[in-house]
Amino acid sequence: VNEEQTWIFQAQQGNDEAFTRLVEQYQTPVFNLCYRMLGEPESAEDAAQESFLRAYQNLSRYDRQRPFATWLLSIAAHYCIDRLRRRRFIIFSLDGEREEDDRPTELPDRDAISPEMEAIRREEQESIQAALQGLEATDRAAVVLRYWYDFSEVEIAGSLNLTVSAVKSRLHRARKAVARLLMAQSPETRVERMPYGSPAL
Amino acid sequence: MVHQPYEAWLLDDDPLTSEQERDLRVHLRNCPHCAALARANLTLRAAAVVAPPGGFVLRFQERLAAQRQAQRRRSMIGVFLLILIGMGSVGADFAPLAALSCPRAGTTFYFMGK
Repeated sequence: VNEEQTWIFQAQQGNDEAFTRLVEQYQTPVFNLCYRMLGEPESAEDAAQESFLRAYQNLSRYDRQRPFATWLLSIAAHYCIDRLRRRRFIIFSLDGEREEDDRPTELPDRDAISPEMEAIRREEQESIQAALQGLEATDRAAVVLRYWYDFSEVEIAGSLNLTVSAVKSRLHRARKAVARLLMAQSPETRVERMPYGSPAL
Repeated sequence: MVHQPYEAWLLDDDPLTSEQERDLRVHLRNCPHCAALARANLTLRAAAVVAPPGGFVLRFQERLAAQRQAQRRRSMIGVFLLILIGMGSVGADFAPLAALSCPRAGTTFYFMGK
């Protein structure tokens, strides 16, 4: 039995300290998911906190045969989808208005090899965040789970209550939309400059 | 321009053979549509993980405590309301008896005598 399973078991028995360990462990993945879904650090903080509260309240229903991360991220994804549906008329615009200090911390990227590459990467991250905001809530969740958490199509289907073929078609549609949005933001394609490897992989 | 099978390769996440990869590279040089799709894939894959501001766990503990307090308050209000309702219904049950045993001042009783 690994440490995490011990914490889960103890938390299910009502041990708050054990649940706190789980919050410590998963705060970044849950916050990142909420940030990628909602686009604003303040909303992401609130959604991440709420997701942990929901997990705490429903801990007795958690099936220990299932990975805890999948269960927890699924709660966060559903919460964010509901929230986006409630506020869908509000359009997030990627700033210019927001102060630099308000930005959440990005973890150091080992792939950033030079200041120039770092600048390109930052610009693309901003573009990707803006592009994500253009996607329908469930498509956005599918993309975030696929690209940030390496969920398989089967896992995404399980987490979002979709069929595998629905996930596949949502991912296709979302990737095309992201490509269109990125192209609209900066028509010059930079495939030749990409340092990350083969485009298809 | 014909985008297949390149678009399908880019949209499906399956690994490519070296021959397919070479063909795809050639196609991408001439096709802005597929190049944009490849760029979207790469940009998504290279996306950073964003960490919350410091003190997240502490804020969670505070939120949990506040929620518990609110729940306790709601339960107390519930219990209080139940007591009130209970007292009300007991009062309603005994009201006719009380009215008989304690007639109001000024009530006149008529007895039919011989």
